[in-house]
Amino acid sequence: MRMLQLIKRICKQVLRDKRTLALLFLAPIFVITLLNYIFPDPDDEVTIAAVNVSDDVIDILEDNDMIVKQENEIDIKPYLEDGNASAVLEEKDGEWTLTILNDNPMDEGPAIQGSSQAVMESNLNDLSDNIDDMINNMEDMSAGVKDMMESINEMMTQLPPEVAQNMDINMDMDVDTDIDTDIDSEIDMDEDPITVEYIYGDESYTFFEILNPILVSFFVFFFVFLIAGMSMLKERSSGTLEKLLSTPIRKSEIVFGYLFGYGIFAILQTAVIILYSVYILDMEIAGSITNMFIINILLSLVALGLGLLLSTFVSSEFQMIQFIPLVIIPQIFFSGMLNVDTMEPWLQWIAPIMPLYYAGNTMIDVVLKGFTLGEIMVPLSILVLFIVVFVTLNILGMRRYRKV
Amino acid sequence: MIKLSNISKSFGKQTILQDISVNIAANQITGLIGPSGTGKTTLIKCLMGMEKYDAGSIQIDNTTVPNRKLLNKTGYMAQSDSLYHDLTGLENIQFFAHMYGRKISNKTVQSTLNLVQLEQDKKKLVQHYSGGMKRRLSLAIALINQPKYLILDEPTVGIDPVLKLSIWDQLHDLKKDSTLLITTHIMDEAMKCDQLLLMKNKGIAASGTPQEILENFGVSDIDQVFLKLEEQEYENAAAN
Repeated sequence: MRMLQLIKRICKQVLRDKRTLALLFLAPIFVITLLNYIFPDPDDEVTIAAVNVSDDVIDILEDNDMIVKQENEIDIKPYLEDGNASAVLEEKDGEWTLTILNDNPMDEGPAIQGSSQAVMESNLNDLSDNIDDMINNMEDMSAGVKDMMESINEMMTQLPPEVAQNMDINMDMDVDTDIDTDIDSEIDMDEDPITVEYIYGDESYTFFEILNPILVSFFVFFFVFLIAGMSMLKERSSGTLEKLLSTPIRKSEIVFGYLFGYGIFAILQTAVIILYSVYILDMEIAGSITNMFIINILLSLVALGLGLLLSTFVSSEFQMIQFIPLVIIPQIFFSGMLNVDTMEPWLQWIAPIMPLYYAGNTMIDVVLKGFTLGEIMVPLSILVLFIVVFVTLNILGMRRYRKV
Repeated sequence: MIKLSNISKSFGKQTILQDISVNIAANQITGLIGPSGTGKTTLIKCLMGMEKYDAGSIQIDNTTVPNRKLLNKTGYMAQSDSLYHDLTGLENIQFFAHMYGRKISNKTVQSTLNLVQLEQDKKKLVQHYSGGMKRRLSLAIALINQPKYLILDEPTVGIDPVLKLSIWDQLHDLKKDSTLLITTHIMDEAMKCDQLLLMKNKGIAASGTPQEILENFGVSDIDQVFLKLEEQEYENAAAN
């Protein structure tokens, strides 16, 4: 009953605070949309400036959908800094040099990959040309030998028979002049040297598609943490928490009231973010959307508990903000964007204490790999454990304001 | 009846209350007066169960504080206005009314709002209230559960003289059913109390009706009592 009134009050307050509503619902949509378009499409063309590069290589580069600018004698640094091209490819005495600015990791990959492929291909072409030449030479040679033989034979017939016999030339007329010229000198460059198989998804996956499930969870965590923490802080600093505790309300009723009151908005926010990602931004999901909801609703309750808990250690909004670099940012690194297994061992020990580590990785499992509810039971249970721990600590923490 | 026996309280090394024993008479207005920083608010928070006292015992109606159920018959008004600024006056008072176990009728809410003359402005958001209006709303909220014990920490700060008089009249009316404990450092208000507890040096320096205290110290107003106490202290220190 009291808890219900508390929930009602929280809803009223949030609905009246238009800015908080906007932060909850529009901010994540804005950022996710931005990210969707901000990452370069892997199919985008890359511009490469070619200096002293043979037409063969340029042809290959252009075949690989790169824009090639042929240049002579350019000052590379200013040229690149002016944004004329992503990279400069140069040949000098058979040495190939690719110069890149190295200020934007997004541009480099395609430029390096494309150029080295082109140079390799052209080298291979040269090689096969050489082989062809060699074979031609050999054919010429064998033709010469054949001619010689024939002329010798001819000569022999013209010699007197006794001389010919005495010459003791044991000429094997069966010298194999028929060198096998069927060496396959054609190296087929049209086929990819390697076939890439994708276990999850396909090659059309962009970075955003891998990042988005993590981002959904991150926003849920971040905004709910912030709003829950701030509102509890306000309740405390305005004296209303003290007033509330002067009534016979139970401390657990306050904590659960907060948890469910803000939980409603956390759930709505989660729904908006997920539905927007899936239906408007066309995020492909291999698993079920219900599982996405379960993960993020649990995560939002964790964020609520953590926000309420940390707000008891701060005395101003600014101090609450100070928790962001300390508590929120590090969790991003462990949320599935980077591979925790390859991190330093001590970092691998830190990862399991972070709620976003479970939520982010489980989101990837569900969205990209299509894990079922049964397969994500373990991380979900751990999130529930987080909620239980934070709620308990919050109820105990209320003792600071009232002893019973 | 509120009974305090040998209450001590310190924050770290700083002692705030030392060995306080006093009974607060039922159906009377008891004024807790003293210079700021003498522990009036700390004493009140101990009474409410918000602070833990280090030694001694507090009993209200033979129940030891802290006890959550006791809060049902207690009304509390803090020094600061503890209001939700994004709710209206009416929503504030209704919300707190719901926090008490038993149902509080709309009639009670209305009559309480009338008492503090906020009937006209009950639909306004509290953030548009004046300082005095907020104080009156806080008072109304403290009265909402018709408490047997009413604990008010400086209730009349920022309230204009006319309204102040009417509030004091109301407080005297409340005496029929309630025991009131009021802190103040406005000395002319102290004279309106039935009983006074003078706090000085972590303890109660004097108690009794205002008239008794004035006679004992042979002075004509309460301010001079504190000056006398100061002198005594100075003499004691010199004697030692």
